[in-house]
Amino acid sequence: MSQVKTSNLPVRQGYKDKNWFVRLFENIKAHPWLYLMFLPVFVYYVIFHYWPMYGIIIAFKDFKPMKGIFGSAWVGFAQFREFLYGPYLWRLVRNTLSINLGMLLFGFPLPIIFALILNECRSVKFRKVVQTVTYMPHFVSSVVVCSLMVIFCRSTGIITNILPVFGMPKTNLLSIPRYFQPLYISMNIWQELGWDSIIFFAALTSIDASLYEAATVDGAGRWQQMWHVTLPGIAPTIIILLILRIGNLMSLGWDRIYLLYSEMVYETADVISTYVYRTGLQRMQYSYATAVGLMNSVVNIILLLSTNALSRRISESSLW
Amino acid sequence: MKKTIVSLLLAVMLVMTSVAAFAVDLPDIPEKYDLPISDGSVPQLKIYMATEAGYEKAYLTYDEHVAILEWEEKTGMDFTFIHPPLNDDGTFFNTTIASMDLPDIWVTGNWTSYYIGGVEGAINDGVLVDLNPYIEQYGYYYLTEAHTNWDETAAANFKTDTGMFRFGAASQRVPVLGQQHTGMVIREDLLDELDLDVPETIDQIHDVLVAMKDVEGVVTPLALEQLNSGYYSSGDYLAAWAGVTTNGFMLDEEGKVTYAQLEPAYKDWLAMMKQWYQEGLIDIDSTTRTHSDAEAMVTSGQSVMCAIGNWETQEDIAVGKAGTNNENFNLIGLTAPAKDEDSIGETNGFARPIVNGENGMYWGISTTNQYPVESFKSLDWLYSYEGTELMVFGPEKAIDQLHRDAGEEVVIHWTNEDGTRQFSDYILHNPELEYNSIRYIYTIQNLSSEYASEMEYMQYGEPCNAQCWEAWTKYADSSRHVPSTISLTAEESAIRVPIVNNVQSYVWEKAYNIIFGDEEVDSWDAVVEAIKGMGIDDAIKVTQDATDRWNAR
Repeated sequence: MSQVKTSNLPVRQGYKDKNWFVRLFENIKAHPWLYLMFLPVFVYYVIFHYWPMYGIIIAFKDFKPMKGIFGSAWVGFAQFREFLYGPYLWRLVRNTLSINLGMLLFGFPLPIIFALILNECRSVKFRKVVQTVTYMPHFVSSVVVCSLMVIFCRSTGIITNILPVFGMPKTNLLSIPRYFQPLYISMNIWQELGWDSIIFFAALTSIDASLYEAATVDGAGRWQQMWHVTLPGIAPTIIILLILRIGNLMSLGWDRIYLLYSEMVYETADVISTYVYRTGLQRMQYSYATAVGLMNSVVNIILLLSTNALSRRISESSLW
Repeated sequence: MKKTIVSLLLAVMLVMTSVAAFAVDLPDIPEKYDLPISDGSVPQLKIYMATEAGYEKAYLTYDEHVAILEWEEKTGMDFTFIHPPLNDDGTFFNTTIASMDLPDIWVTGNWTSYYIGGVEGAINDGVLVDLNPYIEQYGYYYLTEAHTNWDETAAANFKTDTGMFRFGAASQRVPVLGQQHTGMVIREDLLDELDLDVPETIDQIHDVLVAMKDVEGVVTPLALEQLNSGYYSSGDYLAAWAGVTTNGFMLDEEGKVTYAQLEPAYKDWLAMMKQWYQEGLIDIDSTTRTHSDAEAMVTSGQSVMCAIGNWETQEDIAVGKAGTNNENFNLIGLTAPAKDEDSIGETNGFARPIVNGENGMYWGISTTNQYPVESFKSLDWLYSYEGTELMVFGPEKAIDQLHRDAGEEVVIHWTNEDGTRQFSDYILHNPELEYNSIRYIYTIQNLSSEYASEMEYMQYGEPCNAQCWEAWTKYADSSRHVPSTISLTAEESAIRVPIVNNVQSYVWEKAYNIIFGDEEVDSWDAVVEAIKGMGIDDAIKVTQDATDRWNAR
């Protein structure tokens, strides 16, 4: 994934001068099996991610299903204006950003710390058990996790029953606006901590063992080895994942929030994707919902490009 | 002498029926068509229809339903079904339309709730066929029913401003007609135990709830569910005393359309609810509580009062006896709470007594349907006596669907000598399934063109049902509601829908935050300003225009 700026790979003479398609053809001929393995992924992205993009047009139309995308009337930027001058713009952007920043602040470093701690663990058996236990929640359906959360957070729920210990009144936690975001972020961290740490474990195993030996010879303790060998070893992975995360700072899946929220906590829980779901799919304002989604995607692309450029300048690691 | 009186009565009834029929502007009844409608030349037609609780005990889809099989045999058609998920919030319905892979026939009331402009909007957009020409040309049974049974009220509800017939809406008959079908119930045994009178005013309800709060096992005296659910919106039991609804549009005392949340009286309701919450009479879980959860709280003894429908009364009492292990457990229906003792006896105007044809069901035909005439006739046949009987009472006999492999035939219903229909004991007292589940294995309410009197008497025959109806209907009228069958033009819908979408979720959010949160009641003034800023006055204006047209029908 990371692009090494000063590549040592041999470049064939005159290769760069050839036409892109000629080079591709030669490459396919040279590595047919690799391209065959890549084909399903390519087809998937074309069918499910690129081909549907033409549907963005409906953001500029008053879309009526039976008239079709091209038969519906053009309305220019009317849908965008409605959202930009509407009552919910600021709240939706604020909530989407604050939940994502919370996830970035807590949800991003924790798997790294977790991987580093487990990496230091001497008992392989214990490490494997902990790894398995922590990534199991990832496989539990969001519906099940959110339903449990709703039950646990009711006035009579398990989590709520602990509150009096800390001098807090027993109340439905998911109905208190100020608690919604911390609860949502905590639930996500619990579910994804183990799974997110897998990639860092993989990066850790790729660090050359001789570097640790050299550090030991130089008198470095475990803490210094972690600081000067392990962390720099997985830094490119961390940076790439950070760029991807920042690129999605304005994106947040609607499903979990939809399963947890109620009107009472819209002030802190309603995000762009839940709003798009409500207006688009429940209330059939397809064009309006598409316009909101499109604006969101544009902001995400800008964030992604900016972070990538910044990262390239600072760390020499970037997506492209 | 006796014969003469009977003849005279019959003659009077005939004259009254004719007068009613002549008072309504209806097309002539067209020629009767032959059955079967298709000789097998029509391919399988797809019907979009929600399932009814209980059918899943015997079927995977309605394709196998005994009433559907008999309908197919009569009409010569072949139907297959698309079932939306239970409690579809409109997502499945809308995406089905957006997919443009439309079913041939729609049996749903979702048009009013989820499609901008309702059925007429869908016709204008080219989703549905305009059925008026079909009704005029082929609607033998529909128009026979209309000519025979519609009075002016029914006609006003069965037709829209543009004259579109609401094809598929069921006729409401006695004993349901005119009844307030949902209302509040309270534990009668506890009232007796604590020597309390049945409360009639809002303050009396408060005092009773306070007294019952200390009863052993009671956690929250009043089991509220989401306040914008149908159970509360159909009666506004807790807000009507203040002179407002909790559901937006209403008529003020002069009959003009207004938005309840703009009215000063709305704050009275908020203040009362906040006080009840602070006193522990209601709880914060109600913001997400479903109706069945609220019922379960009462039947398990955790609560003493909730809103129910009369179709649930018998079962709730039976479940309550078992759930509380108390043979004396009983529920009693409450009259709509009056503002104070001086106001007892005044109607509140926010009830919803059942009016003929007011239900939102619509049987539609997609523009993509290649066989609209055959499809229409098949649906029209359901308005015949035979078709109605099939869907309301099921076939007379059928293979026991709970034990299909055994192949044993059971009696589902029969017709008495006086012409009334009667469910068998197999349906009324089935040892395996309660009445409300077993009957839907043999009958289909969504395809029933009437609420047949005999069936309703069987369902609501117990004293507890009679008591609830009497109490709930006593002060019930709907004079302060905007008529539910007003029809907005496409332009009016385009104005109203986005505004209402924004305003509705906003006002509920703010109301909940005042009742259960830290916000003060006076902060509602800012909410009023905010919803004015969202354009609520424009939405009120188009609703007023549509109401004026409805009044002129």
